[in-house]
Amino acid sequence: MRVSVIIPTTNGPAQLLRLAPLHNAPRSVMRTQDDYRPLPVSAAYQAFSTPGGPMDMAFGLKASAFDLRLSARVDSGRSWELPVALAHWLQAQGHELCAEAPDLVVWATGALDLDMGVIAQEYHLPSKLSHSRDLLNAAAAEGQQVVVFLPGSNAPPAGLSGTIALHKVTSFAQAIGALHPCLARVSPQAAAPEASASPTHHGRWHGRASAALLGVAGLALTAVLAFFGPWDWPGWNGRVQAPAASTGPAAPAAANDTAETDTEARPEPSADADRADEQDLAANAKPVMPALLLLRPDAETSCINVHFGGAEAQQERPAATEDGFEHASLERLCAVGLALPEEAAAALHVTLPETLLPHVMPSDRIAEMTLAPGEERVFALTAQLPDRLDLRWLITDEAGQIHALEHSLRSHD
Amino acid sequence: MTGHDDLHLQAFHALQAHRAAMQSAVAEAGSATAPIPASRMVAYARRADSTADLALERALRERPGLRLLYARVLSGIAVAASPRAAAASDARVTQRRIGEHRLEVVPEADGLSWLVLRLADGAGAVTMLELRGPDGTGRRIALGAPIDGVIQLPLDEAFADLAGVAQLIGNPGTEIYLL
Repeated sequence: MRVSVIIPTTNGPAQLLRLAPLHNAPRSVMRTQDDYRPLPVSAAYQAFSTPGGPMDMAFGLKASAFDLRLSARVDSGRSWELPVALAHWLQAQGHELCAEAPDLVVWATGALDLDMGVIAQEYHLPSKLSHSRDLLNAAAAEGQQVVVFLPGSNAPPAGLSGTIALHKVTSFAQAIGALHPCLARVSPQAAAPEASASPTHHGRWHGRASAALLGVAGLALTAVLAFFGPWDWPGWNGRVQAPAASTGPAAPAAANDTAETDTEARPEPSADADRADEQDLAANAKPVMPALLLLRPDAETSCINVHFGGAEAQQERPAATEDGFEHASLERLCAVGLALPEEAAAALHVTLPETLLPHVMPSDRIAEMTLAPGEERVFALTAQLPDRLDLRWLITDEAGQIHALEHSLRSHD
Repeated sequence: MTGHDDLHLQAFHALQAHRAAMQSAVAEAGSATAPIPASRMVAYARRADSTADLALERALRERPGLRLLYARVLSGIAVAASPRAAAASDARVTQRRIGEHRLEVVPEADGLSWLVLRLADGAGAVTMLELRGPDGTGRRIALGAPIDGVIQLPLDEAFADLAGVAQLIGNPGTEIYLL
């Protein structure tokens, strides 16, 4: 799919024109098409895109440096980080970044922390939106999907076309969760990721797992709504671009959700209500869920020995409950992970608990993954763990339904 | 004697040499080129930007004596200089050592080459690079800020400032100055 990524600034929008990997030049460079010299933010971009840096940890980068070219200057600040991370992720999934005639326009602003969470700060949203409004409305008028990602804000933006999807995001993972249905909507074939888009970081216990984040064709709009939970702004809460009629099981749910918010975004009635009902029924059937894996060292050894391959770990599988897993102990816990039974019908997309990521070793730290039937993936934990970890795994099934698996890990059971 | 005094002494010697060259040029009957005032040449070498004085550039290409003089002035003000590749030969070079710094031209798969200047630890501010080929052809380019100790520029010929830069760096006889 052709995707245009827009980085808004208080001076106007900067469109991403080119993102090319550099295999010999040592530094990542952000520049405009009018100047060969790097922009002042290039040093920060280098740190952001360096091997082992935040983006590499989140989804793996194919090169150690990049040439990123913009249509206009970005002189300061860090709000370019979310759109740039999205651009890298989109390209890693095999999508074409372009400025002309895109299928999808992504407008995003937000500085990211080391865990790819959006930092709460002043983003000058009214100014950025007012400079971008005409561009976004024109794209929507031309029939392009337009998605706007906004960090926390107290007021809904005004003057945007009703077909523009608005998402309030607090993390990079949320943003890509919201992009899934948009990417699947126009052309699931085009949205299929390249085989080489797998993350580069695999834990010691990891099987070779594809990061086929978009492989779930037909991922529904309800996924986005479930992802974000309740909205703060009654005027546009959950206002999302209407999917094409009968493109997936989410259409009825989306209609329900948008009915009380924005009439412009209301999807067209399904042309085949019976089919939609069947899809709803199918969606309600809960697929086989992954099992929770906990790895601990034998009594006479330690996690360090396990991590360095000097000892085998003992595997525990806490019993499943209605909403997740039974609580378990944090004592001598080396790693945590999931295993999808062989009998599962299809791969699942898993978003790791945000509360877990800070305690995962950097080499294993990824925000999400795809888990194939029969596959196990575990994540080595750091030595310093808190007294309690409340974890919420988000599992997206083949039908686009999102299931939350919750459980706690505590120092003293 | 301070470095400042050294600089003035060099400039003074350059001025004297140039004055002699000018007098010689004026004396030449039928000379097609007008003499270049030394003050203009020194000011050109010391300019803070990369704008080119076309008359001076032409003079530098046509008059080896003036070129020598210009090189002496540039050497006096440069952060680091390399008069020619250490192992000069007819072969093209892709790396040059300029004082403690290292300059490379690295190709990428898309056909675009990059200028990579690795600055030595503790290097002072380097803002411009001047290249002067054996035939007097010159380019001065503004470098921008280093990124983690490296200045990296795309040698994209679409930018007029960068036209011919890769060829000049590849020529072992090119003088390179970091300013």
